[in-house]
Amino acid sequence: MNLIQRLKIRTELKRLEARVHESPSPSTFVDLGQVYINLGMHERTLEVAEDGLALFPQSNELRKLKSFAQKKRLADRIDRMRSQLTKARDPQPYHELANLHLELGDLEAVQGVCEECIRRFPDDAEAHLLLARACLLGFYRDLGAREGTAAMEHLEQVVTLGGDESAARRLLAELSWRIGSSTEVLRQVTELERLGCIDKELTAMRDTLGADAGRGGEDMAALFHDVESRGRMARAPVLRELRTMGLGFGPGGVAGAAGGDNDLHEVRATLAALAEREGVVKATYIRGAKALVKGQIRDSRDPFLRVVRVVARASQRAARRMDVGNFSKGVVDGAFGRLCVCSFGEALAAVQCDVGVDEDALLAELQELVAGSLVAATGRKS
Amino acid sequence: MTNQIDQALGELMHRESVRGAAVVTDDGITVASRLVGRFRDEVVSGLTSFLLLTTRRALSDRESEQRIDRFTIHATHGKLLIQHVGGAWLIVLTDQFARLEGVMPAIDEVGSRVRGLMKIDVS
Repeated sequence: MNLIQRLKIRTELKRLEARVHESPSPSTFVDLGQVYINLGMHERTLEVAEDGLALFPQSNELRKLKSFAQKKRLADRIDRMRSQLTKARDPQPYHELANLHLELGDLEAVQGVCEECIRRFPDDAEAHLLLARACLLGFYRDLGAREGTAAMEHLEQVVTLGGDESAARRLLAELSWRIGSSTEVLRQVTELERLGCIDKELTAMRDTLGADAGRGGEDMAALFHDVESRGRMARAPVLRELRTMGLGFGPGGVAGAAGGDNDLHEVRATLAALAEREGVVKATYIRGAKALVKGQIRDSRDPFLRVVRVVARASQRAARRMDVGNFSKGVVDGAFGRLCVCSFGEALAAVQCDVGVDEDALLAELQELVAGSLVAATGRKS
Repeated sequence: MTNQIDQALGELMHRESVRGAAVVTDDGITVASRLVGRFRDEVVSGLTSFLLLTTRRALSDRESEQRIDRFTIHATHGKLLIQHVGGAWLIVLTDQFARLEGVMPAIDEVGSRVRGLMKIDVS
């Protein structure tokens, strides 16, 4: 950066700082934070976001700025840690790095770090546990059988390698419960009892199933595939850890966001009806980091989900800056067909369809879907 | 050429609910503008460029799959329509009550005129 550029940035910073003091508003704080982001000063961005939130605690934009700054700070720590990895003589730095990626929600990175760790330290059970947690997050989010099976394999590996057996068995019990297994749940609960890790929730799980349940053999792979094809878990979560981790479609997941199981059912039914309309290829409902999908979507890496998020975010930003208020609906026509997006707060619904499909009717249905889910969530809170 | 584009935009401005119109290039340079009041040329053109670039990047890494023909935004205080017109984009801003299907024929007509004007005849 040359002297003139530095001077320009300094002048801009001074101007924005003066604006923040003279006419504080969420957008003035966000503008100032943006300059700090461009300068790579993430600590300062975080301070600005926190100052702004002290004055405007309800501002979504400031919350986003804070979360972005926190993510960037974590990313900086990750970069620093990456350089230390090659010199590491024990797996600890890998665990720390994988945990940071897990915190950021970057599941592919967690997988990469853990696999590298396992290559160097084949007996490291903790890496398998972290991998299992990443796979579980993916499974509870997307309901993909492959990730569920992988999670189970890694958890069993943790037990085999003599790692944190109680944590692994607890996660196995919870996973088996959600996919509808009985034999496996009872086996894990018995093992946890032997380890002295039984609690009232595990007891409730065992009591619900009954001592005689699940004596026959169960095909776990078939249970995972059932979950994937049905698009929902066999059982609702009963364990506190699932709820507090925000995994899955329980109170912390999409169901929690959209309401109870009934509300989620309604969202899913509306999505299914949308996806079945002539000309509609894909449909999704997104709340925060979680998405419900219907139609021709293979997994969470489908570009459709990314495009929907990007279009909603960029449109919101453009609408606010152009002074036309908050973005509510958008339509993009192009080589891919037509994309209709409806957004309110952090809830989004979208479809990809052929260009000939009636966009007004689709937008109205998407609006109903988003509004309905938000009304249900508000009603539940009150 | 700019005068003719400006004239075409002027005709669009006579339409009910239309609050502004402009033609900008892919990289956010204003070719002609009839933006008035709270809408500023550089803000609208810059944000349009940002919106299109970001969406294209998200769509695909391959240029052939990045084509966008039209982008419509409905917001609480207005609507924004961005239409591809050859080497540039026609931007139309309306109030929030506008029925876009009513304005679309005029936008399409102006769009095709601008598309023709943007071409350089080398014959």
